[in-house]
Amino acid sequence: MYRYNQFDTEYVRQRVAIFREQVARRIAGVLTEDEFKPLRLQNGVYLQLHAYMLRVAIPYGTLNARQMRALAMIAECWDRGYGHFTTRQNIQFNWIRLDDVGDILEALADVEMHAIQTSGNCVRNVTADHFAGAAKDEIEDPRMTAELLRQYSTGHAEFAFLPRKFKIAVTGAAHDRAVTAFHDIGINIVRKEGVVGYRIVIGGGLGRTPIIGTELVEFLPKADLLPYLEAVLHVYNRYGRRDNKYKARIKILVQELGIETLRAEIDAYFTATRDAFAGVPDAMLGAIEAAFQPPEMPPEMDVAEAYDLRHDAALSPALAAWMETNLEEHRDGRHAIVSISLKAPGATPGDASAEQMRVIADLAERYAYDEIRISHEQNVILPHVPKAHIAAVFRALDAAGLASANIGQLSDIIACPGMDYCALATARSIPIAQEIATRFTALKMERDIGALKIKISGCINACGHHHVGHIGILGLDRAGVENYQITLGGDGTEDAALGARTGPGFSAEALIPAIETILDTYLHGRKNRDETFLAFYRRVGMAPFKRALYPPTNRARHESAA
Amino acid sequence: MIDSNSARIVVDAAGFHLDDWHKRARFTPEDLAGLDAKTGASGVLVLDAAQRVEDLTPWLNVLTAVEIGFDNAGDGRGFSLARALRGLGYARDIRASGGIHVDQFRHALQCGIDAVILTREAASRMPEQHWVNAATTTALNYQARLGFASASWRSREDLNL
Repeated sequence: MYRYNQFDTEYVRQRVAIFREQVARRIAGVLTEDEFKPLRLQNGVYLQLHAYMLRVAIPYGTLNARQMRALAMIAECWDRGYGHFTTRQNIQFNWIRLDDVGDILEALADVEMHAIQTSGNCVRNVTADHFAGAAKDEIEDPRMTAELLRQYSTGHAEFAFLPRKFKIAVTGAAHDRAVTAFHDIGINIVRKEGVVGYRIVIGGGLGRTPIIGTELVEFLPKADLLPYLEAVLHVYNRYGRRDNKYKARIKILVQELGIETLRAEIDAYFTATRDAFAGVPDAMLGAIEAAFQPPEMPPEMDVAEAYDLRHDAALSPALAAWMETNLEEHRDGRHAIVSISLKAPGATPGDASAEQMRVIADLAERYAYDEIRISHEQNVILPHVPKAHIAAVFRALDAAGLASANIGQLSDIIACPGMDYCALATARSIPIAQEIATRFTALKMERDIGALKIKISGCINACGHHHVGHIGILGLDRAGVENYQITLGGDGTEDAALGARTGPGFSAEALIPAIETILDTYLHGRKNRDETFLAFYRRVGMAPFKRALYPPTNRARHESAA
Repeated sequence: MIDSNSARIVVDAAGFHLDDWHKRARFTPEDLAGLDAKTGASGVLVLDAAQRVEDLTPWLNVLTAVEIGFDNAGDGRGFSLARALRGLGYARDIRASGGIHVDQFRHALQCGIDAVILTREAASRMPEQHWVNAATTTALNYQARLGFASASWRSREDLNL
């Protein structure tokens, strides 16, 4: 795991001191709200519907136990005893006071954490595959690249006031768990003729204008990454639109200029400035590389080589069910990747109490080499758990209400905060997620349905990623009444696809029956249990769902209600 | 303390100064074609943030003073413009004016801007010491550590103040 060097420590402390002083100047009226707003945003402080919110970065989703305990402490001291893990590997505290922010940032700095650039029109927290370093299909740990980018983007003087926010995600594996096709820049680590480099994708995004990213560079040598990204950001900063915030993301620039013209601009600047870049010093690269080596396995681990989890499964049906959904194969056969679901049916997706955070921290320390990950799907991961400890980990999670066996299934829903918290939202999303999870788990349909990603956004800004949900739900306000549009077939992986709308939306009351209709259509139509919802949709298309959702007899009634 | 009602104030890393450019001729990129070298060298080229500075290459070794106007505090194009000018080899003065404030001074200096031109109102609201303090924060610079040439390379002796 990457540990702060003296420079990192000094930098983060300096930022805390500067922000304290900026808050004081704002309170004294020296800074105007217009001047202060970008400054507080770049330090993670939002003004939400009810209170200030602090968004803390968890770079590339990696934490250790000490850091997790610090988050628990912050939740208890300065918030209401819980935190909310987000779709960008951050954690949000929703009920903090502006004058406490300095102290909270100080507490974060104590454990090598910060809230720098978690919002504002700058390069945001760089995200990565949450199975990094453990996945079987990995070319290289993407966190080495992500850490390099964290350093590169932190406090970059030229790019602190971009037209709009700028999100970068990195994956080092063939299976894209980092949604790279839907980022301003998606970085895929690839191997070409034995050499490791980068495939760069640009201009993907969700929000009001969902677009799948376009390939910008097929193969970029590793040494060129920083000066090349510098050129991308430079061109974006100069030519990205600033007249309309909904057209200010780089995806719009890609659309308006065309990829060829944009690439030519970027290449021209890159070529002109490449020589002024001396290259990252070997010592720094070496330190980053060393930080992401696999944990040292104790020698007695050799004994566990032959550990057979089936024995544990045979002893407990609950454990067996949990193992089926929440375990993933580790590249090292003696270990497994454990996903801890923060999606207990009926709970708020992504929320964890201080107590639960401590339980996770203890388990990581005791059984899992002190490594924790946060996934963009708002779950927590213990990336390296010796198989011999799986049963013990499960029992401890179960006792803490953290053993929901639903990873990748119906009730593992991504939902934005929605109208309960967010000033932008036009509809509720968390209660919808709760209702769906409660209803269909009660019907015991979840296991039978199998792999399914439901994603819910409470407004067109799409923070709940509904465009890439196998079933996407978008809550809108229609003349003061909540109305929910449904999309089908979205996919955020390497087979990226945007969901298609089923047709007219549904009222809050009609939504759950509509979801049930969709699920029934799938269950009755699939070839067999191996055909997932997404595979079924790709085979049969929208037509059977449309027929079921909008039968002719009901159509007139439905439309008059809509 | 500076005590003049007529001139604007200029702040660089060392603190406040009287604006010594206010008597110079001011011209825009459109004027450059009809300009002789002497006027070019003695005047101030005023750029707005949308300018394509790459088109100015032929004049960059004649000019001695460039002023980049910032539309508002949220518009960072001026930073990239300054970087681009430095990248093209322009080595004389660059000043920023308009919507740029003390908490962006660090960014300005690191992008190769030498000084910021302030209105009287801004200078009284943002005291000299704040600017001097902000200038010291340039020292911690991730990008320089990673091998990027720092644009705030100009020494005090070069500054034509």
